[in-house]
Amino acid sequence: MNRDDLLTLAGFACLILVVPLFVRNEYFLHLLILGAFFAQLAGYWNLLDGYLGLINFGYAAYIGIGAYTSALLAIHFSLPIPVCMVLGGIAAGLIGILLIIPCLRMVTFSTAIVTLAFGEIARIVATAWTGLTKGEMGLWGIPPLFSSPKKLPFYYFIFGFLLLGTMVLRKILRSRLGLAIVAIREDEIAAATNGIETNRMKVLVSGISCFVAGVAGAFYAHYILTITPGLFGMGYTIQIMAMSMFGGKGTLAGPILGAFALIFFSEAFRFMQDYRLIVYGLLIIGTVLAFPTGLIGAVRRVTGALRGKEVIS
Amino acid sequence: MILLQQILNGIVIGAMYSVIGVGFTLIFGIMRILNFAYGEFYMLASYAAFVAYSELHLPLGVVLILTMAVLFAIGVVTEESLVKPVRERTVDWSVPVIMVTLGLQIVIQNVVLLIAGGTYKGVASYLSGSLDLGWVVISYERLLILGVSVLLLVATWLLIQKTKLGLAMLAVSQNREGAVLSGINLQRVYAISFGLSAALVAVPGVMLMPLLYVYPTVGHVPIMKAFAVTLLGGMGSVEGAILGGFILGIAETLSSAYISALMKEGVAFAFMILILIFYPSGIGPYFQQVRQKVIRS
Repeated sequence: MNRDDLLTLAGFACLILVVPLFVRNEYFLHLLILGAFFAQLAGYWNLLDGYLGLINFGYAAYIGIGAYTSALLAIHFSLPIPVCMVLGGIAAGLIGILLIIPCLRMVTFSTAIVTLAFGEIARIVATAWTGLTKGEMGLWGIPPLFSSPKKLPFYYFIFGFLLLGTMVLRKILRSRLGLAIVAIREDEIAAATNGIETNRMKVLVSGISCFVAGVAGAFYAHYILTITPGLFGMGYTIQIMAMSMFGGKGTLAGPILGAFALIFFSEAFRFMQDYRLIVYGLLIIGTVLAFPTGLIGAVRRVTGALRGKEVIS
Repeated sequence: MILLQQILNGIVIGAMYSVIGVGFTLIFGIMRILNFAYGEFYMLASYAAFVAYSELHLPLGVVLILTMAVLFAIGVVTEESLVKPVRERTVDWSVPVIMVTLGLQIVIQNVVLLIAGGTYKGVASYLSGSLDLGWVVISYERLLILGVSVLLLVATWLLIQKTKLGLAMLAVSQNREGAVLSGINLQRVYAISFGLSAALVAVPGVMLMPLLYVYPTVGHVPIMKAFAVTLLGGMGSVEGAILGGFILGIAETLSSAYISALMKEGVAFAFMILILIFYPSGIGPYFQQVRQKVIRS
């Protein structure tokens, strides 16, 4: 890690510490927490789709697995909550690895639909297994991560998690592993002939990505305190995909930007009531049509034009 | 005898799944895109059928043809206005097209919710009465569903294999550049295939309306079937989709009869993943191989 990196890191850390001094509104803090939660998920979904080129349509299932595992462990065995969260992440990561192994022999699109099918199976099991999950009623009585009723500790926790997650992501992408990941995306056969173990890479990256989804899901469970099988559903995956695409796929900052932007947009559209989701859908269509490379791509093109350079997007 | 009855029910519903799957796999094979608004096309067809049949009191045959025509137009317009711009701007258009169709899905669902409201609508049945064969009973309505789907599958098959347009579709799906070099109008093939796909899913939209009812999010059901059938049959394989539809239908009715009705869809998906572990590119290509071996020997 060089000096510039440290400076950027310190800058973000200061920003995170300073914001709550000015923002006293609990609801606004809640939005920031959700934004960071989704930013982390969009970032790690992007690691799979944007960098490795592996589409995962069942990503929300891992959030659900992490959330339910952690919540059930905390309720029934009263383990310390951080332990539960890590175990939730491990459960999600292991299941992610188990699912990716049969997918290795299939083409990209088949993988996409197998993960989607897995997400549906997970949702149906969570709905039907009422003895364990209470089904559609939702699991409640989950012990909170922090006993304080204030949102501030949660805010610091999730932003710390986001910062750590992004740093790890950056470290991975700058390493040999990162180069291997991008090489697989560009041309899998060429990567394999250059001695990259493509299958092992795919398993490893899926494991990492699903682990993070599990931990994030566990945080969600111990923050919101009620979880329903809807957490496994396509809705969350679509939201995460939209954020990743909206910000700019295949970049580090894009998904984070996209997550906060969409969270705040959908809040800002609340006055439109029934028309809100229509505008949301139009926004997704418009972004893909106008900026195929997302917000980051648009920013780069503008700054590139200002500098008088041709930018290849 | 219950087993036979279940298998028969599975074949009937499977025929509809085949139609749903063929429409979906067709545009994947030709254009390499997954249309996430596919279920919404189904939903629009269901609403159109509801209005035409129970408010305007048109005969079922007219309703079917009208709905197919309307959906064909909607499909063509979608391709021309939304998918085409994305295709022209990106090299690898698979994921951007998924996002656009997802956006379209959200828009259509919510516009319909505003206009029609969230209540379940439907008609009791198109036909009443049933045929008792002694060992199995089949209602005339299910017989009609089976007949219409088989007719439609045969028609689609003939269209693809015997007409010039169908050959152009096949050519594009096999080699895009080669097809263009042979003088095939790519844009025309794309637009017609998209329209055809929407027109195909219109038929289940009309026929299944009495069974599934219609509400703004009903599209979730057919699109899940479309995914399952497409994957089972092999991505882009029409024969595979036909076969996959019947397998899925039978697997679903059997699992809802003998395992759990609530888990029916989960079991069907699990079964699908299990098959894929042994045949990673779906059963369609596998059966093609078998057929070629039989022809050669």
